[in-house]
Amino acid sequence: MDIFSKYLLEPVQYEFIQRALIASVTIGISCGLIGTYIMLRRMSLIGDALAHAVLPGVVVSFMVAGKSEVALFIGAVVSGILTVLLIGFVNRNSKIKEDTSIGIIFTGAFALGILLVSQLKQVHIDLSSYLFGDVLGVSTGDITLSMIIMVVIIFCIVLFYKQLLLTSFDPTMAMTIGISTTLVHYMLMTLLSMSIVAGLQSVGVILIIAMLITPPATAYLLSNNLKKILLLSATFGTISAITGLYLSYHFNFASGASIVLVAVALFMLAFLFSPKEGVVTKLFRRRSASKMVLIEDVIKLSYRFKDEPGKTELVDKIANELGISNGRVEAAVKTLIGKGLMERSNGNYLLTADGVKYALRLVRTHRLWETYVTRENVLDLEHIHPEAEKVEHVLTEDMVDELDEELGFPEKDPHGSEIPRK
Amino acid sequence: MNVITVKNLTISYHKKPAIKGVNLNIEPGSVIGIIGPNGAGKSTLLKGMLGLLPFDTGEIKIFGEDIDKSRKRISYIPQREQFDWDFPINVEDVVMMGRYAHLPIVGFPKAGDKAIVEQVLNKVEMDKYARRQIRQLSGGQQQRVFLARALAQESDVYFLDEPFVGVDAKTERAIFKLMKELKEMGKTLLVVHHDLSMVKDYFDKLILINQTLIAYGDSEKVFTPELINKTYGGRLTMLQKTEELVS
Ligand SMILES: Nc1ncnc2c1ncn2[C@@H]1O[C@H](COP(=O)(O)OP(=O)(O)OP(=O)(O)O)[C@@H](O)[C@H]1O
Ligand SMILES: [Mg+2]
Repeated sequence: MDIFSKYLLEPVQYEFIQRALIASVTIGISCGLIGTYIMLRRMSLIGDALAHAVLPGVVVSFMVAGKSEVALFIGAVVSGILTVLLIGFVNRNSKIKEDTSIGIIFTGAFALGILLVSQLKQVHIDLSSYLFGDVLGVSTGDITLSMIIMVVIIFCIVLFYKQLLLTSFDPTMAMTIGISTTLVHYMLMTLLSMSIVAGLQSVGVILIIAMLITPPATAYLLSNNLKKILLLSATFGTISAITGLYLSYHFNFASGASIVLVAVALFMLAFLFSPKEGVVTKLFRRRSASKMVLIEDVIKLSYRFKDEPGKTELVDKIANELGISNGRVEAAVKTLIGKGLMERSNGNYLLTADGVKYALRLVRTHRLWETYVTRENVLDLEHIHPEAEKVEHVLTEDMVDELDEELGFPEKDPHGSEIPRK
Repeated sequence: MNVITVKNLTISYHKKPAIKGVNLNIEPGSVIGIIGPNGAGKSTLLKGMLGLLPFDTGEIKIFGEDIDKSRKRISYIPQREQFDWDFPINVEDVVMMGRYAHLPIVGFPKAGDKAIVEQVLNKVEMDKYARRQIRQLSGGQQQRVFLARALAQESDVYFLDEPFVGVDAKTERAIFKLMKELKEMGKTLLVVHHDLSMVKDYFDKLILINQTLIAYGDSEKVFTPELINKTYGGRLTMLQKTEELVS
């Protein structure tokens, strides 16, 4: 508890930390929301370009108005929009492809910004805080500005949810029903420039793109639902920004870099462990799935061999049939005994009543599935057996009942074997 | 009154014409096939009629009016390849897009729209999959979802670009049945198709195109070896020859 209050709560008494916290939340939300659309529309390159291209606007606003948030905002958004227009113009009027024209225009704009800064000796402008971010140096004016930006962004996304969704997913249909994709594009570009302005002070020009795409990408790995992705993305952005802020405070790290590294760490966690898509998760799932298949195969074969008088032991027969070692069959049998599906009597392994039921269910699924694919003419008879072999392990009981009904409760499968009734 | 009137339409990409001087008068209540080889300009003609492409010369009227005035009355089912199937969207939400044309600029779908979505999903037998992400569907099911979306638009003219490509027999039957139903309701369907089998069964009328309009008329009259040959520029005879060799 002591450590908790020492590291997390104590800093909050300082006003500059309070400001930094508010700034973190607002940029986390703004960038997380806008970034989701940037990712879905595959526009991360233009996002990065815009982040760099606002620099000359920022410098000019300094030259004209000194340190004024309103001037900064106008300068940045205007140079952002000019950049987008210029990129589009080059694009339409030459055979240069979009990625190339983006590269040319934004490096040009960025270079112009640096040139202007170097000519600006009499006015003090701390370039490094714009380049690398300094979340601890956020002013009250910065906060007001980024809160307004956040509200505008939330407002636009809620009001124009339809238009943003349709133009992102199917721009052709959007046009056929009279939604102007160009207008939506420019709205998004304006909001993008605004979210960049909001993140400028805390994360810096060079790394702000990470705040725009890393949290959305993390969210995308965790969900298939746009609304959830928007919420998760804003949450991850906020968590990254706040954690980065603390790292920056306690260890004196550059704030932009620490915020981005936290965001990337979250991404890596999702990449490895996401319940649906995670690389490690998939590995485990494949493992447990193949274990399940083995166990079910052992049940089925025990059932098939149950009345066969044999000198060889059941385990040997099963191992032979499946082409695996006796050890693996033994292990599966042990699991089955643990689950009460098998028992040992007179030195022999036998299925219990529950085990027999389970086996019949598997046989029924297998034979119904074979019947189904033959009727639907999906595959010819020679090939269906291996397929059915796989399917019987994944169909749920409801699906099997549905299948049975659809087939009109057949009695025999295509090979002529009887289908066990339920 | 004509549903669509096309006068002297020419559309180019980078100054190279894809279709030239096309004239058409399309009457309501029929299923019309647009037939031609790859690159003949079938998709271009369709997109042109939908007002999606700028044209060099010509004029298009839909229900006697400018396309912008009739947008609520048309719907379009694009070729399937053009979608990002990993997009975070489910079946229900795709179909709801069909209602967008009827909603105000900042309005949200209402109970009535939801009922329509449910109803059209039932119609194409996709109600069980309402919450599936679209990647997790078969090709035929995906096609039926986009059909449902067009139905939800409740429009009068339907533009379909190669709806039969890559679908299973069940979906093919479903699409065909729907086309017939829509026709009986007095709707007009324009369907791009590049497979010559079934043409007479599917379509009342045909537009044969290969850059210029080769012929337009009743399938019975237009689907002749000479005209088809002319459309496919001799390529069909090659095809026929190989077919003879094979059989
Ligand atoms: N966006 C584009 N930019 C440049 N050329 C294009 C574009 N779209 C089509 N074309 C060209 O216009 C011509 C007609 O194309 P279109 O897509 O209309 O043909 P299609 O009949 O639909 O062919 P397919 O059967 O392959 O779909 C083709 O030569 C094609 O290369
Ligand atoms: Mg085409």
